[in-house]
Amino acid sequence: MIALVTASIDEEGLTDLRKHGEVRYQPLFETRQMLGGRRLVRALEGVDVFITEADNLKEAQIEALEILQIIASCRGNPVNIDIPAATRKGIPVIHAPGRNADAVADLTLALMLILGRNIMQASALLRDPDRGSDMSALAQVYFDLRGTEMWEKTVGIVGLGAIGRKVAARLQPFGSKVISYDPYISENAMADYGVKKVDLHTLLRESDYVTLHAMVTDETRGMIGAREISLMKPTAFFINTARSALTDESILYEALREKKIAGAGFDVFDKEPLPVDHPFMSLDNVVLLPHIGGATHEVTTHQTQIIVPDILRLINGEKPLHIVNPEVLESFKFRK
Amino acid sequence: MAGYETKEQMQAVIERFLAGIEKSETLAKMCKGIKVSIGYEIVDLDFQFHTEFMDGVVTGGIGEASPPSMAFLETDSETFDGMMTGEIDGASAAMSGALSFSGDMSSAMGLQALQDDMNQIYRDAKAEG
Repeated sequence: MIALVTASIDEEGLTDLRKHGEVRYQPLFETRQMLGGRRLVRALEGVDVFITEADNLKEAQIEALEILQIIASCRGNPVNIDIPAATRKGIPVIHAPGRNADAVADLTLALMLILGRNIMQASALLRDPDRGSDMSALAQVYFDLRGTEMWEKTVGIVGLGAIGRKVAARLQPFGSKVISYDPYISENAMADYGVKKVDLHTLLRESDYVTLHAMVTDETRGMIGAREISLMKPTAFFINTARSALTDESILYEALREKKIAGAGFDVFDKEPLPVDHPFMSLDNVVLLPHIGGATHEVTTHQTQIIVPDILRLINGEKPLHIVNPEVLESFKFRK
Repeated sequence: MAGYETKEQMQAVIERFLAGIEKSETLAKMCKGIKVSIGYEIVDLDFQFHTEFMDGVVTGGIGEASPPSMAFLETDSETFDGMMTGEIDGASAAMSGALSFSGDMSSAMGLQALQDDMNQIYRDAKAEG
């Protein structure tokens, strides 16, 4: 077996793969080189297993490859792979749902605390040459920058999937009340996570923090519009570490500019990187991040633990846990 | 259908486009501090050209660059033309497989700010024909 690995995989995972053959480990974070088009086809000549994260493997490339047996996309949603094309060629495509869940949940909590405790403003104050060393100014800001604790605050989680559940778990020690809108999770299942099931409008009306963790589907696209924002408390914070397509940036901008809501934290935008002249840049009640939700060292371990065992299952003739096109398994047999 | 029927047609436009970006003072100013080279491969016409943005100096040429470009964009003439005229969204084209990137994409991303000016120069180059 020859495996080309351009995703980040930890040493333990690489060792497990090497027991089955040659592993060409060329992770993007080291090489800084993406593969695409004919260059990708050349790199995959003679390769049985391709483990990728960012490279686009589309129909033209899949059609041109004769040897490739397994495609592993280290993403929750393997948008970089043409699934129908792989299925037509009988190639199983495995993926890594939840690999970023801990990372994004941590960042969501960080944004709640940054917003609630005015951390951006407080940090900026100390760097201000006029006010940072002025004792009377500091005494004043001690009161001006008083924030809010998470204790007894209501946090509304929109979408109680892998990330939403981890956000809920992290909130329990803070003493927060957690409510969630997710039509696909039952009341009892939510109760198991210490979460109360509510409808979307109730969530928006009652929450001190609204945080989005839904996937973008036809059902959820634009789900937070003008009507929804108008239901939020003027003291509430809005957090989006999921996808900007769930919301409307212009409506959020107006609501934040007019202080109809207290503030917001965004890690995702309609256009990334966020243009320097974007209206959000002019707001002082917004924390803006460059889509770093999944940017942690530990994600390498998470995706290794999801992807590598599934590859070994396929090599050993077993069914993988996370396969996008299970219909190919009926006729699939790994050629050793 | 947009795009080009022959390699010669496209090459004539690209030569004017490259001349346009080389003499653009705006692009030169905007690429101060940037060092990026992009190779373009138009697969249906078997046509290559390249651009270089080297700290305020913009150059380009027909064929492959030497030394090789830092990043590559591979597509067909119709998609390339659509992106440069603004009729096709590059991100959507990449998702559909009509456009492939390879090489050092983080450097190439730095050119995004120049795209509108480059598109205008391309449209002018096309109109001249």
